[in-house]
Amino acid sequence: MKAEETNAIVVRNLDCGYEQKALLRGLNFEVREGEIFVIMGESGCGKSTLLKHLIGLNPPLAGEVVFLGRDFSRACGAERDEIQKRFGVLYQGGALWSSLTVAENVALPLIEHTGLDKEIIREMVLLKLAQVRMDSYAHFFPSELSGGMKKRAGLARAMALDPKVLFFDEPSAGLDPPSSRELDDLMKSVRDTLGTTLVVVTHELSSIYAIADRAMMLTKESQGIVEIGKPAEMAKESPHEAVRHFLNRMPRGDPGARTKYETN
Amino acid sequence: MEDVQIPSADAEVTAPPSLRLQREEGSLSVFFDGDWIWRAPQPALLALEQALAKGVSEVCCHAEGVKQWDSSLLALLLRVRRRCEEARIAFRTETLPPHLKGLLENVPEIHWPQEPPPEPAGLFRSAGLGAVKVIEGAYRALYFSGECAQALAKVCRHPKALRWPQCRMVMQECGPASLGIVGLISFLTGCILAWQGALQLRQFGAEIYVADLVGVALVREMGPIMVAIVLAGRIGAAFAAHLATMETSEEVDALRTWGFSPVQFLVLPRLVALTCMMPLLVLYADLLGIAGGMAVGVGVLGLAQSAFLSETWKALHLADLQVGLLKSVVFAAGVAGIGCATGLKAERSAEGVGTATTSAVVKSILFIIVVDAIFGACSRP
Repeated sequence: MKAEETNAIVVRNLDCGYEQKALLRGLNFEVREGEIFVIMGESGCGKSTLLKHLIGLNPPLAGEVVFLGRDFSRACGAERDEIQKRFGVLYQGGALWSSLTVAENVALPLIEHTGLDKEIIREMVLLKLAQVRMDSYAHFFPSELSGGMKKRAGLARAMALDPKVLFFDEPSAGLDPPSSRELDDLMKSVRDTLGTTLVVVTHELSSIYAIADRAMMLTKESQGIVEIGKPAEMAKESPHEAVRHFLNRMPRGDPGARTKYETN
Repeated sequence: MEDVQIPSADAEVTAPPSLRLQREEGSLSVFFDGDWIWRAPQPALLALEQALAKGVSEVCCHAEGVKQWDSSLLALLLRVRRRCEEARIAFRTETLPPHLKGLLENVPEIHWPQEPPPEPAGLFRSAGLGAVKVIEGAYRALYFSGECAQALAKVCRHPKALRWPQCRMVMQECGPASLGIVGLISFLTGCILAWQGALQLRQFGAEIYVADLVGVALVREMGPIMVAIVLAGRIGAAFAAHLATMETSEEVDALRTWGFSPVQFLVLPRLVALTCMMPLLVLYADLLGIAGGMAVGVGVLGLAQSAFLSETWKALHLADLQVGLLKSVVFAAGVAGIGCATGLKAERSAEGVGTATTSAVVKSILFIIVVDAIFGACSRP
C-alpha cells in the first residue's frame, strides 16, 4: 500500500471539551502517513484541547480517535501503553524533567521501555541529540537552556522511541524568528529523513506556510472544522471569510480581505 | 534492499534480531539478520566487542538479512564505527541498506561533550562554604525582618494599606479551618500527658497532681508548641509553596515592576493573619488538652471532675497563660515569616517549589524549638 493511501490518524464524530462541556463538536478528519498536518485557528478555538484528546490526555466526550488502525480512545491497559509508545509529543515549553540533564531526559524512555544495551542507549541518546543539534548540551540541566534549546531537547526526547507520529503544541511560541525558522527546518528534516507524520498545533502564519502539507482551520463560532486544505490555496480561494482573514493576517470583519487576495 | 522500511516503531517483530561474525585473516564480517527494532529482544553484543578487540584490520557490515530496522541498529553501527576509529580499523558499509547507509554517512562525528568537573571537595572548603551560607542566611533574615517591620509600621500609620480581604481569607484558613486537627492533637496530647504522669504519680499516691501537670505543661509549653508545629506543616508550607509558585510564574516580578512591594502585598497579610489566629488557637488547644487530661483523670484514674478542675485552677497562674500566649505570637510571626521568605527566594522550577516547601517546614520547626528553649532559659525555675 502506498503511503498516500494510508492514514496515521482517523478522527470520527469527535466531541472535545472538559467535564461534558463540548468546545468542539462532531470533528471528522484524517491525518495521512508522512504528512505535516497543521491544526490552526484563533486563540481559544480549542486547538490545544483537540491535541489533548488526540494524545489521550483527555477522554473524548463522544466519537473516536483511531491511531494507526487501532481505536485509541477506547484502548486501555497494555494496548493503550503500546499505542502511546508509537507517538511522541513536544509540549509548548519543552516540558523537560527539571531534575534530569538533557541526556538523561532523552535516555529515560529508552531505559524504561526498551531492553537495549546501555552502550547502545548512550549512542542513541547522542544520535537523537545530534539530530536536533543539542549534542554539545547533553550534560546541561533544563534550567540552563534557552527557550529554543529546551524545545529542541524536547524534540529529541519525543523522538527517542522512533515514533510514527510526532505532535507539536505551539512549537514557535516564545521563540525568536531565527529559532522559530530553525525549528521549522528541523521538523521538515525529521519528516523527510525518518518519514515521521507530524501533527502541529499552531497559529504562527510563517510556520504554517513553511511546513504544512495540509492545514485544518477551527473556529470558536462553528465549534468545529471550517476547512481542510493547502494553506496557500486556502488563503486565496477559500469560500470562508474566517479562513481568508486568518491566513492573510487581517482583522476580523475586514471587508478588504477578498480584495487583497484577489489583487495578489 | 528496496523493501527495507523507513525506521519507525510501528512494525511488529517477525524475526528476532541476530548477529553473526565471520573472520577471514584480518577482516571481520558482521552479518545482521532479522528485525533490528527496539521492540525486539536484543542479542548479546559481547562477542562483537571481543572480536573488535582481537586485532582486526577491517570491519565489513552486512545487512542483507535485515527485514526491519530503526535507530537502535543505527546506534549499534555508530558504536562499531566509533570503536573502529579508536582502534584505527577500516570500517566498510557498502552492503548496508541505502537509507541506513545514507543516515550513517550523514551523522557527523559526534562525541559526548566533557562532563563538567566535579566540585572540589575538602573539609576546609565545606566549612567555609557552610559559614558563608549561614552568614548570607542571617543577613537575608535580618533584611527580610527589617522589610516586614517597615511594612508593619506603614500599616500601623495607614491601616488601609493592608490588604484586608486577603488577610481575612488567610485567617479563615489558619483559624476555623484548623480547628479540627488542632483540637484532635491537643485532646490526645492532654490524654497522653495525663496517662504518663499518672503512671509515675500513682507510686506516691499523688494522682490528683495529674491535673497540675496537665494544666501547667499544656498552657506553658505543649499548647503553643503543638499548635505552632501543626500550623508550620499546614500553613507555613502552604505559604512557601504559594509564593514559590508565584515566583516561578513571574507574578512576583510583575508586582515589583508595578512598584508594589511583595512584602507589603504578599507577606504582611499572611503575617498579620497568622499572628492574630495563633493565640486564639492556643487558647482553644489549652482547653481541649485539659479536657483530654480530665477524661483520663476521671475515666481511668477515678478522680472527681470537680477535684480535677479545682486542682487545675489552683495550679495555673496568669503568668503561665501570658507566657504561652507570648510564645504563640512569636511562633506565629516566625512560621509566617519563614514560610513567606523561603517561598520568595525559591528557585524558578518545579523542584524549587518542592525544596522551598520542605525547607520552610524544617526551618519553622527548628525555629519553634530554639525559641521555646530560649523562653525556657529566660523564665524563672
